[in-house]
Formats: sequence, structure tokens, C-alpha cells
Amino acid sequence: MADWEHDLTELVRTRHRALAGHAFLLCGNAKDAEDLVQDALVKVYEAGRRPGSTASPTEAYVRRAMVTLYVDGYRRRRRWSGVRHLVGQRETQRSRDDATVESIAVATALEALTPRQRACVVLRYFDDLTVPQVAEELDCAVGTVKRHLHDARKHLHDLLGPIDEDLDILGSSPEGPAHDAHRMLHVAPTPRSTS
Amino acid sequence: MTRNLRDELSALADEGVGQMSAPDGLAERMGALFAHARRRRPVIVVGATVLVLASAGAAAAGIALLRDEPPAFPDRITQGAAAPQASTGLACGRAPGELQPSVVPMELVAEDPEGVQPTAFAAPLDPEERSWPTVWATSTTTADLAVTMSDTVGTYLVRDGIVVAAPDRAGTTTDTTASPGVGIATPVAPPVMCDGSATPAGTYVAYGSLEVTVHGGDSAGTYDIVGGPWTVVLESTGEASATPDEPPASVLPALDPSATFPQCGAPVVAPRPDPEITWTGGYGLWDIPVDPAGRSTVSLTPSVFGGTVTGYPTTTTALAIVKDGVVVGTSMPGGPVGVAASPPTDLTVGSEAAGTVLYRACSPGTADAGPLPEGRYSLWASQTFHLTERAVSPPGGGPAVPQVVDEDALAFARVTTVAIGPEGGPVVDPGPAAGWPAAIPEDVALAEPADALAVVWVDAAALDDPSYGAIVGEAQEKLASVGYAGAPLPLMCQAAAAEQLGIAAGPNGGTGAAVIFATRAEADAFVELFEHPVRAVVEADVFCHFS
Repeated sequence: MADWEHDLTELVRTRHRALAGHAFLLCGNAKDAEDLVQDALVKVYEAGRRPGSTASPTEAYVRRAMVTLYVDGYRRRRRWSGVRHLVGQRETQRSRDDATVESIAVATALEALTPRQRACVVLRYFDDLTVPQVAEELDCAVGTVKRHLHDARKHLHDLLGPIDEDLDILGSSPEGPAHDAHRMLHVAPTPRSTS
Repeated sequence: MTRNLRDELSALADEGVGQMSAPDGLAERMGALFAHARRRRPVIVVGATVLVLASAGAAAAGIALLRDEPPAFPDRITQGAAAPQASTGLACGRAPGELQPSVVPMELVAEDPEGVQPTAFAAPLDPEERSWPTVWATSTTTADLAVTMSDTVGTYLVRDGIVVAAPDRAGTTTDTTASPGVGIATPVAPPVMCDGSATPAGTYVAYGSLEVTVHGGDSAGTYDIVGGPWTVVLESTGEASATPDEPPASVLPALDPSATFPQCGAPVVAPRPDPEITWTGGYGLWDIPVDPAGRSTVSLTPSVFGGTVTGYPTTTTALAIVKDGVVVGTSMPGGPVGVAASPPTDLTVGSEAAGTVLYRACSPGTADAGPLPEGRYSLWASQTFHLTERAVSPPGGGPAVPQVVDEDALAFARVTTVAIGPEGGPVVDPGPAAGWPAAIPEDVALAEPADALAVVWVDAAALDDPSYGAIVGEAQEKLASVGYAGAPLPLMCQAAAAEQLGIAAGPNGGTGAAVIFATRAEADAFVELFEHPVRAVVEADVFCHFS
């Protein structure tokens, strides 16, 4: 088994749940989230396995690829669907009958955000990145992220009611070192920009 | 009840994961996909979506693809079972004329590499290869089609109206099923110059051609599915081009009063016809990435003044390069979009548009008449919407009352400043000339709040001021002309500004074109050098009180 195949297998085995949760918060439904995870894995590992590549794809790359794909638009659906028939993968879509009322409310509120606002919220409040780190992930200015977060919070507040005040826009993770360790998954190493 | 968003997002993610398929076999499927890509090479290279081909005639070039304005001529393909034989009009030395893309029973759609060369991995593209956009063959019928299709999409390059490069096609075919709306990633056959020479860098018109035989059903027959026309920019990647042919900087088009935005030469007149919708005040637009081909894909978020508006876009987002109030570069037609495909949505949330602009000078009849002369330009965007509902709070306060409306609205605004370098492509703006004081970028000022900063407000207006676009846009142009970013700065980001400027910002706030300096002396030096009057210099904290 090639190194990249081993890395990919390990990543899927150990981190699929985390990647899937990240994707679900971005997409809002299981089907698109599955596609997003797979698209991101294809992108990252296709690059990493090419002859002469010294890159070692990591979870950070995959997460960043997911955000890029998501923010880039909705073309990803067609990308994966365009090659799905080549690998014979079966799609499943479970119902949300067992979803809690609270989860539905949060999911519905997230749907009201623009893709960039939503990406900012997920990166900031789920992945616990700082605002500068979110800006780096999205390749935009810090001020841009703050505005997206501000607008997103306003929409979420309107739809969900009061939101915990410790969710300051500029501050670092309030949960401390454990979350900081989690954050490290996203900040090192920094991939090369191709744009 | 106060919600903890972190906890609720975690719970939602857990729930979502529970709805998703187990990852069993995912790695194996990825491996199978890569193996398939190897078999079909030159095929899928990056993310299963970028087609990369190794072409001896074009090994030194990188390619970017842009969509041309659709010609107004009818399809050359006769639809139906008796379609003409393949590649009519697309052959070396022939003039293909004005072709339109096929629409039945399949269509070819190219996606540029913008979204498929992610910033997410470090491996560079092989310099011996070059990237083509993905070409998707998609059935436009309502039923599955059993088809035999060429293994490759042939790409023809046209210059000066003549086909100068044709594909070297393998001639092999694949039997597959084309499902409605599901794109089939199809490799691109490399174009080879008709005279056998190396492909020179430059700009070409390109068409894609795919031979398809449909077996059975109403669509049975053999078709030559045509895609394009696209603008293909072949860029040298370091090796000398065989025949460097980049024309000298072109003359900018003259004002054409009969043209309308974004047509070449059109006057850009502010204020916009309808002040209700604009683009969100410069969010993220001052750091627009430009790809190696000199294009930008710009994301825009409509911003609605004074309440909630429901509607849908009726045109695509049109972008244009503007100099001295005249459109001098345009690459997006801003044509109508399928209304039925765009159900009304709340335009105040969840709505985002994107357009692509090519940094080339236009002339009447063509979007690419050569490179833009060195200098500073502005980028403007336009899009029309149809509104179906509006909810505006009454002047005296109270809940907004939704009202059904049936009207059109235009969003039209200056997006950002673009600097064109001596090579004719977009460059990082060199900024103010020597001797001008250095400004503090807005994001730096906001991220690192100081006790007080000196902000030169060139001009500002309340967002619900009907002249907002004219006031702020003109002030931005003045700042841009001397190398300052002039990104819109909300009045709320300097709390003392609105009062000192004498602007009643109202519930929707206000924005101005401003420059931030560390000291009053620097601000005064700027005012001294700036040949235009300024509205005020305000010394106070700069911080956006978003919370």
C-alpha cells in the first residue's frame, strides 16, 4: 500500500467523524456533507499522491479544502456526481425524524446565513479558530471576518434568541488548552496558495 | 434562554454525523477513483475535476478559460436525429463563424480551475503539464440516455476567425448512461497547432466538440455536441514563447453614450436607478484574488436598505472595469437567467452572487482588444432583481409589515479599485507616491484598536440616502486615484464620526470613503497633498461596535 493510501485510510478511520461533522455544519444535510468530505479528500490526496510531491496531506488540508469548496459555491455537487458513477458508490439519505427540536432550530438558523457567514460561524464557533485564523482559512481580511461574524450573529440572534455573550468576535477560544490543541489541527502547516 | 452556540453546533454536528453513511470503504473508493483517472489519462488530475494534459505543443503554457458573450447567431447544429456530421466548420484553416453551444440532447459546460486548485494542498502542478478546465457533458433531456461518446472533448483554437489548432483525438469511445442534469467529466483532447508549431502564448477563442451517439428513444442519432465559445488565455510559464505576440497596450475605448453597462464604452452614471439594493458595503472586496490569467471571480452579497426584501435575480452579475466614468473592460454579459430556477428568497440573508471579470481592454464588439494600459481602474458590478415582497418598519417604529410587491430593482455599485501594471495585468497596487503619508489599513486599525486615530473622511452618506452611491463612489474614486484603498468604512466604526460629519445615519447606518492615519499630523499632511476637499478629520477611537 502506498504511503498516501495508508495516510488516507488512517485519516478516514480516525477522523472521519470530525470531518463529517464539520461538513454537516457547512452543508446542512447529510448527503451534501458526504459529497463535500469526499470531494475534499479527492482534492487533497490527488495532489499528495502525485509523483514528486512532498506534501503530506493532513486533516488540516482536508478541512480547508472543504471550506474552500463550500464557499466556492455549489458546483461541488456536480463535480462529485459527475464521477460518482465511476466508482459505484451508493448514496443514502436518512430522515431527520429523530432530530431534536433545538437542533432543527439551529440548523434552520444556519440556513439563513450566506455561505461566507456560515463558514465563518463554523470555523469560529465549532472549530474554535481565532478571527485571524478564520481570515487565513478564508483568504480574506480580518475585518471581513468580523463583519461576517457580526452579521451572522445578528441573524442567529433574530432567529434563535439571545446567544451566549462569551462568543466575542475578537477573543480567543474560551475553553482553554484543550480547544487550543484542537485548533492546532487547522493552523499547521499552512498550505501554499495557488491563486 | 441564552444559547451557547458552541454547544449547539457540536450537538448539531453529532446529529448530522449520525445521519451520514459509515465511512466503510471510503478510502478504497478514493483509490478506485484515482485508478480510473490514471486509465483515462490525460484526465482528472486535481480533485477529480481539473483536466490536465501533457501536450508537446503546449507544454510551456498555462490555460485559463473564460466564457465569451454568447453570440446571437442560431445553433449550427440541427437538433434531432439527423444532426450533421461531426466537426462541421471546425477544422484547420476553416472559419467556424459564429457558433452557439449545443443544447440538446447534451451540452458541454466548462468549469474554470478557480474552484479546483484549492489553497488546501502544497503540491504544485507539474510544470510539464498544463491545466484545462473541467468539461462536463450533461444530458439535457428528461430521461436517461444510453450513449456512445468520444473519450475526449476535442478543443479547437480560433484566432482571427480561423481555426489554428485542432485536437489530436484518440478516436476511442465509451458506452455509458447520461442521466439528466448529471455531468460526466470528460477529458480534453489537446489542441495541436495546425502547422505543427508550438502553441504560442496569447488569447484564443475555443470551441469544444464531443461526438455522441444516442441509442434508442426520441433523441436517437449521432450528434456533434459543441461547447463554447470560450476565451482561452495561454500564458507562458517561464519558457520563451515561440512567437511572442502580446500586442502593445491598447487604446481605451471612447465613451459611447448609446451603450449601457456593462457594454464597452458605456457611461457609468451614479446614482444608481434604485437605491434599495446595493452590494454589501465592500465586504471582503478589497482583497480580491486574481488568478494567473488575470481574472477575478468576485463574490457579492446584496445589501438591502431599510427592512426585508424578498425576490430573485433576473440577470447574472455583470462586472466591468471602469476608467474615468467609462466602461473600458468587460467580460460578463449580465444576461437574463432562468427565473423559474430562482425561487424568491430573502435578499437580506442567504443570498450571494458571483461574477468573473477579465482584466483586458475592450473595444466595441470584443471583450478582449488587448491589455489595459498601466494605471488605476475601478471595478463595478450590476445585477437586476425582481422583488415579490417587502417588509419595512414604519417610521414611528413597531414591527415591519410585509407587503406583496411586483417590481424590479437594480443593484449597481463600485466594488473595488484595480491596479494594472506595466505588463498589462493586475498587480498589487503600489499605493501612494513617495511623500504621501502611510495610512493604516482598515483591518489593522480594527484588529488593533488604539486610543485614538485620525480619520480623514473624504465623504460619507447614510445608507438610505438616495445619493449614497454617488457620494461614496465619487469619494472612493478620488482616493483611489492617489493610491489609497478607500474601502467603505462604516460610520459605526468611529463612533464620533457621524456627529462630526453631520450625518443622521438612521437605523441602517452609514458609510464613507475614509483614510485612517496614526496621527493628526499625518492626516493633515494628507489633506494638504490631496487636491480634493475632505468632509472632516475626526480624531477618535476606531472600532466597530458589532456586539
